[in-house]
Amino acid sequence: MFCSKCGHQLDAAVAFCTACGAPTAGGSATGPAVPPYVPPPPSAQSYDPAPPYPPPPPYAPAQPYPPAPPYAPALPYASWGDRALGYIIDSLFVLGVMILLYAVLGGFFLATVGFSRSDSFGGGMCCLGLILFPVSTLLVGLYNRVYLVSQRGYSIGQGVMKLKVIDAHGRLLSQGTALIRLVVHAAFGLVPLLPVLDLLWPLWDDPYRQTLHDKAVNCYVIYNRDVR
Amino acid sequence: MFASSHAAVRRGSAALTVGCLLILSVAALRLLFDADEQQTRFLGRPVGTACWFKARFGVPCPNCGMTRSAILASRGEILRAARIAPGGPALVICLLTVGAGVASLGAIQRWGRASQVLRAQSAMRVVVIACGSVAASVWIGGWMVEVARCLKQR
Repeated sequence: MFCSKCGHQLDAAVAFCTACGAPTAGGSATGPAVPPYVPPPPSAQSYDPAPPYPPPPPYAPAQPYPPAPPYAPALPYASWGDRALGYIIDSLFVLGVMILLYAVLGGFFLATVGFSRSDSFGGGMCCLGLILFPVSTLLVGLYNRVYLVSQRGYSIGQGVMKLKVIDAHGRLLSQGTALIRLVVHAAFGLVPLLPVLDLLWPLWDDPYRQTLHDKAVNCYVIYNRDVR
Repeated sequence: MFASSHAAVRRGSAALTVGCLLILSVAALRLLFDADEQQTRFLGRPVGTACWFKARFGVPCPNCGMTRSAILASRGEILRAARIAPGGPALVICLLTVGAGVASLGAIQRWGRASQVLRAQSAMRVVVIACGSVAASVWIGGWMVEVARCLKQR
C-alpha cells in the first residue's frame, strides 16, 4: 500500500508512514506507538566546523620604515647652525638669570654657612651650578619657550634666526606641549654633558634635524617663511 | 637626501668646527687650569673648593670634585682623577670621543658620499647614546658611592 499523504510505499502492517509519519489506513491504531519520523534538523553535527585554514590574524602590516609625519617632505627644516645661534641668543637670557640667582642664593648661602674665606664663595658654585642652570632655563623658558612659542611659534632667539616650531601636523605647539618640551630640556641640564649632546643631536638626525627635547614631543623646527 | 651640495658642505663645516671646539675645550682645561686633591688653580691662582652642600649636610653634592677630577683627567692622570670623582674622567673621555666623532662626521659630510654620511650618522647616534649613558651612570654612581662612604665614616 501507499501513504495517502506522501505516496511513500509502505508495508501493510505499519500504522504510520515511515516517510512522513501520517497514520495509515491499514495499521492498528492501538498498536505500539511509533513516533513519527522527524527528519533531523540541519544541525552542525554533520558539518565539520573546523575550517581548512586557520582564521586570518588581525591586520598588522609590517612597516619596514617608521611612519613619516604628514608634512615631512615639504618642510624646510632649520639647519643646525641657525638653531645653535638661536639657542645661544636664548641662552644669554638664561645666563643673565643665572648670574642674578647666583648672586642672591650665593649671598644667602654665604650668610647661612658663614664661610670666612672670600674664595670659598666661588667654590660653592659646584652645587649651585647643578641647579641654577635648569632652574634658570625653566624660569626664562616659561615666557620665552612656552608663552612665545605657543603664541607666535618662536622664541626670541628663534625669531632672530627666523625659525619656527611646529608639531607633526604643521600647527603651533599648545602651551602644554611647549611646557613638556621645556621641562625635558631643563631636566637634561641636571646631568653633565647631556645638554651638549641634546644640542648636537640635529647634526646626525636626518632629515628632521630634531633635538632630543624636540623628539620628546614630536615637534620640528623649520624656517619661518612668513617673515622671510 | 641633501637639498644641494652647498648645504652639505655648510653642514659639514659646522660639524667639523663644533667637533674641533669640543676637543679644544679639553685642551683649554688642560692649559688654563691646574689641580690636585685639595685645590683648583686657574692660571696659577687658587680658586675656592668649599661646597655649600657639603658644608651644610656633610656629604658631597653630585658635582663635588668634578672640576679637579676633569682637570686631572685632561692631564692624563686618569686614576688620580677617578679617586676624586669618577665622573670627571668619564666626562673628559666622552667629550673627546663625541668631539672626534662630530669632527669626523663633519669631514664625511663635507667630502664623503651620501651613503657614507648615512652610515656615519647612524654610528654617531650609537656613540652618543653610549657616551651619554656611561658618563651619566658613572657620574651619579660615583656620587652615590661617595655619599655612602661619607655616611659610613660618621
